[in-house]
Amino acid sequence: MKSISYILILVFMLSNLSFGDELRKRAHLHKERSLLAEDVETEISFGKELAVKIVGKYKLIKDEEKTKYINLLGRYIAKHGPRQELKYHFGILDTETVNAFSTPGGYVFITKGCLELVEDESELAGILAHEIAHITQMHIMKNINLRAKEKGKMGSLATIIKGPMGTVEDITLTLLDEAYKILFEKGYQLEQEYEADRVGTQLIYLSGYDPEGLKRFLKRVLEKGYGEQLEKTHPNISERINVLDEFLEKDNLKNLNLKRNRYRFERYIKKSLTKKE
Amino acid sequence: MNVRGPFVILILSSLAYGRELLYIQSLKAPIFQNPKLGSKEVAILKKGDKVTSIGKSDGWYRVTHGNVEGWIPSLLVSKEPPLERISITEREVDVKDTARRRASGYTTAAAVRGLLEDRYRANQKYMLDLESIEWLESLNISKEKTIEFEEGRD
Repeated sequence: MKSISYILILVFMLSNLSFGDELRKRAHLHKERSLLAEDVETEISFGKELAVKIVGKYKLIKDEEKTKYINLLGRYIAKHGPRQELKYHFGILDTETVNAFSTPGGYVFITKGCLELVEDESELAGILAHEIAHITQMHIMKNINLRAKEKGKMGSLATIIKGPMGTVEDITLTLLDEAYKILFEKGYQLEQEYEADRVGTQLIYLSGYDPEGLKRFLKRVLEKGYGEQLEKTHPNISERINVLDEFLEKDNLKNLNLKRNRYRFERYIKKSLTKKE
Repeated sequence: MNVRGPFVILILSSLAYGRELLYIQSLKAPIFQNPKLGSKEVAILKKGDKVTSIGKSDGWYRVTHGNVEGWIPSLLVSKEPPLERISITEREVDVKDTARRRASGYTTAAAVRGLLEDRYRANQKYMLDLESIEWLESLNISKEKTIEFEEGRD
C-alpha cells in the first residue's frame, strides 16, 4: 500500500513538472492571441489574489472619504485609456515607504509615504496613471509569461491555467510568487517602467491634467532624499526624469498650464493625512 | 542624380502597408492633426468606433474616419472590438479557502492531498487580507458624485 502511495506521489510530481513546462510553452505561443472574456476573468482573479497579499504586507487605510477620492480620480484617468472591460480599485497603504503598486485586473495601491510627497492632483494623477499603465500594458502577465493572445489553436488563458488535469493551484502559487517578487524585490523590466511613465503621461494629458505632474513628483522624490528607496524596484530617477522630459518636449506637452487642482487635493488628502488615523 | 528612388520607396512602402480596421478602446479618443499629443484635435471618437489605419509611426497610427484624416496614439486602438465590462464578483474566487480547495478540489488521492497541503503551508510566508480587498471593492460611489467630481463641482 505504501509503495502505491509513493508511486502516486511520483506520478503526480512528474506530471506537474511537465505540466508547468507545457503551460509556459503554450502561454508563450499565445502571445499574439486576442484577449477573451475568460482570459480577463482569470487575470482579475490572479490580480485579486496578489492584491490580498499586498494588503497583507502593508495594512490598507480604511478611510472612506480619502479612498473614494483616489478612486474617483483613478477611474477618471482610466476612462481615457484602453481596457474598459476592467473595473479599477484604488487603495491607500499604511506605510511610510514611498511607492505605488498595481496588480493585473485593476487593483492599484499608493502608500501613505508617497501621498505625503504629492502636492497636487496632477501629480497624484501621474502616479496612478503610471500604475494603470502597468495594468493596461499587461506587464506582470507578460513577465510571468501568461499573456494569452492568439485566438484559435489552443483555447484561452483560462484553459491553460486550469491545465489538462485541472492541476491549477500549484501553478498559480508559483506564478503569484513570481509576481510578488516583481512588485517587492526585482521590479519590472526597465523598458516596462519607461513605457509606464510614457503611457501614464499620455493618460494624464488625455484626462486634461498638467502632463508634467509625474515628472514634478519624481523631482521631489529626489530632492527630499527618497530616490534610493524608490530605485530599489524602479530605474534611476534622474534617468526617468530625462526620458520623460524628452517625451514631453517631442509631443509639445511642456508649459501648457493645464489643471493641477491643488486645492481639491489638499481638501481631500493633505490636511488629514498627517493626523493620526 | 536619381530622384526617383525615394518616390519609388515611398510608393512601395505605402502599398506594403495594408489598410486595417481598428477599434477605439477608450471611452473617448481624439484624432490629432499630427503625431503629437500637443497638436490640434480634428475629431473626437468614442469607444467601439472604427477607424482605418493608413500608416504607422512610433506609437501612432495614421487613420481615416469618414472624411476625417489624422493621427491617433496606438494606445487607444486595437484590431479587436473592445470587450464589455467584466466582473468576477458573481462567481467569486475563494481566496480565503484555497487551502481546502487545493486539498480536495482537484484530486482525491490521499497522498497527493498531503503533498498539496505541504505546498499550502509553504504559502504561509504571506500574510493574506481578503477582508480589506472586499472593503475596497464594496465602496459605493454614486453616479452623481462621479459627475460632480469630473466636472469639478465637488
